[in-house]
Amino acid sequence: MKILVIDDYVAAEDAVRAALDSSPATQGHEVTGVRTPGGLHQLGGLDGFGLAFVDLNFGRLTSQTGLSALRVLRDSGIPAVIYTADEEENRLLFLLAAFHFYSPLGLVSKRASRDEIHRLVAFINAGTVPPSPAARRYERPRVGRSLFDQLIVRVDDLPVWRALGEQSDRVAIAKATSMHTRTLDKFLADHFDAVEGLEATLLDRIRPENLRPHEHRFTPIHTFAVTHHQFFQDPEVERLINERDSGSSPNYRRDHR
Amino acid sequence: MQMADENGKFNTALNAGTRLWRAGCWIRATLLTGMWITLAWAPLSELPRAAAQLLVTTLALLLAFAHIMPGGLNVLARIPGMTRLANHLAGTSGRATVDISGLAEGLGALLATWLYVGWFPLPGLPVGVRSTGVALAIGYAWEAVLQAVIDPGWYNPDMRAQRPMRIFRCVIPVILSGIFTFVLLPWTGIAAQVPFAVRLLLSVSPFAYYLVWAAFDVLLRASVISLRNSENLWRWDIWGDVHGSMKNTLVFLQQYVDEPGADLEEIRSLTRNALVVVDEFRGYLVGGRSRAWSGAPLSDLWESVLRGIGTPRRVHCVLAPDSAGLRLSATDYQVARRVLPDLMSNALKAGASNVDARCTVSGQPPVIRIEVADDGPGMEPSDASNPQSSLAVLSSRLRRREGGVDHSANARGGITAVAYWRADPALGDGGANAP
Repeated sequence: MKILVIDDYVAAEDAVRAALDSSPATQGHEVTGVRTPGGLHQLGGLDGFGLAFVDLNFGRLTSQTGLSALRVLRDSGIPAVIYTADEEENRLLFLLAAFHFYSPLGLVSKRASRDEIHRLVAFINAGTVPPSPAARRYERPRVGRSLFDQLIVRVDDLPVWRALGEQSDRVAIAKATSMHTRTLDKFLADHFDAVEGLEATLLDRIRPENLRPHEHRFTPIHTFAVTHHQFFQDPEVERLINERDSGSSPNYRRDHR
Repeated sequence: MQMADENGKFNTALNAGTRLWRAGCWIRATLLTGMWITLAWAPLSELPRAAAQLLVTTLALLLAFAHIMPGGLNVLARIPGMTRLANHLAGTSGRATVDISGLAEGLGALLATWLYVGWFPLPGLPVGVRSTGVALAIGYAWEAVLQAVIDPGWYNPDMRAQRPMRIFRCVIPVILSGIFTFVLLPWTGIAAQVPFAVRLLLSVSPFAYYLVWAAFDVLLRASVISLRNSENLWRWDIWGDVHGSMKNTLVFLQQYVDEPGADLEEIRSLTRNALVVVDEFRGYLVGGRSRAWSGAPLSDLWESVLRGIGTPRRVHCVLAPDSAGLRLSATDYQVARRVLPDLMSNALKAGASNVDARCTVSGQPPVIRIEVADDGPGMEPSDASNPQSSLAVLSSRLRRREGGVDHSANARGGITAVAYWRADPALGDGGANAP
């Protein structure tokens, strides 16, 4: 099988190659690395690749994120696993979006051992879906609205999230988004539970009771928006939300909304 | 308010103040020109006296220009007898205090106003010209005092204005309004020609300072908040990046160490790589370096390698000038970041006192070559053929990229090692470029 590693670090490609070489069962696989999602277009076609390891953040190399790579891979019919530093807080929404919109086969931490990597590849090579307990918490719930859908209800929420990350004053945010402060307060109230739910579910972070009242909503949501500013700025996220809202997202079933 | 915010406010006031002061000088110069023009309607016999009065105003304005223009005080200091004045003006910059320049402008404004109103105004001016002249003179004084009201010195957290000065700032509009009212009183029949409405309007005009002051403070506070917000995002951007890169490098090192049968030479190489990464970030954080690997010239990597592996001062290490500006793709840059420290480290271990390095890209498909030549006597030919040696480990790593390592004895009695690999064809992330 030909395997792609889309990661800004050559070391990630080397780690996957070393993991596959370490077991006779996976020694025959060929590993190709690209440093950015844009690099996929320069490979001269993706035919023949059976799997891709996708990093979500390309830091200094490009403003594109792993979501762009996942789109290219989905369009080419190449199964993907997410290969990222999943312990980083600012990867949280990228991971959620990746599992919401692209249903990758699994999640592999950058800290994964060679054993974990070659077992996963062996599973996929055998045509089965590998068990990936780490991925389960990011997957869409089978019933009800997901926290992700509660966080970004419509595409118009994105400019508000961006402004919440860029400004630290309610009035400035309201001005930047051309909304009334009362509308902004309603936005904060409507989204507070989603933020709290995400942090509790995915980061095991429980906010103290005394931070719950209405007047304390702004600071935690502002902090959340700053942490995830890169996510809210990603044009690919806007594209995905637009596709979701128009019902044209291939991987997104409307009954989950 | 936090100290950082106060500093931000002061720095903004300082930057704005310099520009506002310069703009103010030009505005006063325009007003003064208008006053000189009004002299065209003055009787010939009165011109010497009028010109003398306006000359004081003009000299005061030139002093203000000298105070604000770059190098202006140096020019002033070169004029015989002006050194003390220049030193005095230099010492009052950025502080809320009274200086000679300010006093001179005050005197100049008063003398200019007395051309049109007061106890000995110019006779024979038409009423319209007199009203315009007095408005220009009051406008001149108003503008000059405005600079004092919004002077950056009021915001200096290290040299806070004393309480009496702060009280003085609050009453400046009242005092100036009082002065204007006093000067504009119809002391003589000639002065009374200026319409009452004009005199009233000009007398109360200093109260507009309160509005300007409030607006200036609001803008300063807003700029501090903007600065804080930008810093917040910048921290996530830069420090998140630094943290991610450092952590990734160390995670892959730890991952390798944790594997059974980890090779010590590979661990050494990964550690050297981590040290170079640590050094690279100094360049990114203090500025002056491209944040993307693919944009960084090889000379940046070279410096980081020398610092990262701790090159002793006794060793003379030189990167060929034609290699310094070479820019590699992200992949090749990272490969070079592993190769260069390994080759350099070998040269140093061999006891070299001179190490010359060169990087070239040539051929079709392009091949990258890093050549390190040393004069160290320490390496035995068998060292390179040992499969556990660093060169053998490096060679095995480069074979995956259709490369390897060659080495040969050179004329200086040392070894020339050439590491080569096929350049990454992905040009999108910065293919190898000549300088």
